[in-house]
Amino acid sequence: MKIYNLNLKSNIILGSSRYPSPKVFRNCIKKSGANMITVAVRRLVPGSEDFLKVIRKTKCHVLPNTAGCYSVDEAVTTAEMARELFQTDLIKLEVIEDSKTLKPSMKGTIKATEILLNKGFKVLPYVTDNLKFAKSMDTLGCKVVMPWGSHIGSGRGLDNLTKLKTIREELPDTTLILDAGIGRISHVCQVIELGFDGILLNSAVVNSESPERFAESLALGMKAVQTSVKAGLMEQRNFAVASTSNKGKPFSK
Amino acid sequence: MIKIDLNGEEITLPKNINLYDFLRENFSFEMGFAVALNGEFISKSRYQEILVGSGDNIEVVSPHPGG
Repeated sequence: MKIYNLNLKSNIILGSSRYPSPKVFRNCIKKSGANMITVAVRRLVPGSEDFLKVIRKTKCHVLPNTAGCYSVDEAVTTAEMARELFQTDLIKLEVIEDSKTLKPSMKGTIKATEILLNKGFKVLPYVTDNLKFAKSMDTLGCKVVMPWGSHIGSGRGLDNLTKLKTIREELPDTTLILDAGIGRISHVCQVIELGFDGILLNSAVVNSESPERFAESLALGMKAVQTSVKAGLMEQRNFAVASTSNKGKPFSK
Repeated sequence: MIKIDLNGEEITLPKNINLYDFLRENFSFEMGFAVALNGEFISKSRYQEILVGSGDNIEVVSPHPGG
């Protein structure tokens, strides 16, 4: 999966939040095959340095986010702090407009994207499944766009397959990563069958009873769906098409 | 005495102080952190040239798990 000038060997990006232990986190990375993880910045408290060590030990590419930012200024400053901390121009941009749905603000995201691209960032914006929203990111120069499937942490999957399919069709050359709502492996399959390039998930892994086992299933599911898509899927039809030939059927005239 | 806001908490300093010295007194540079002053990102290279004054708002952040 291409993330600006980076070619990732896996198309799974894992969030780093709420794992029961660093060991489980590392095992999930290993079992899922992910080689990029998302991280955040928060006020420094004693023990913060431990997480930096955990990140470095994973040897994964790091994708900092601006989670929790509700204004353009907050998001831009957070991105700048993250760039210095993690030594990367990549930023998963979140400018939220509503605390209940964590819906990204179209106006705020566009403004922050403009500013950050001008400052040399490689922006990966979190957007809804609104085509206009996604297209505006592409027009501004984002090489990666990350539409939601459903609300962050909901595990509900893809609320609107048609809208996501349209985004894929309208942005054929943009790396599309589904960023929110994945709860089960069948959702992962739907995303890849839609032609998306990859997935970003966190809650589905850590909220399963066995994160490590779920991470393993992610790798298996991803491999299965990628292989089936490469095989070339049959076209869907509205009516039945008999698979058994009628030639030689007894009692026929 | 001057009052400033550090990570959401009001603290009192005896006098205006260079940002570099302020950070050195309150944090370990080995910990890995980044700084914003009054909402504006301040790169490491600028710590020496900034003076912390009354009413300033300083945010010092570090890596944190996130999705």
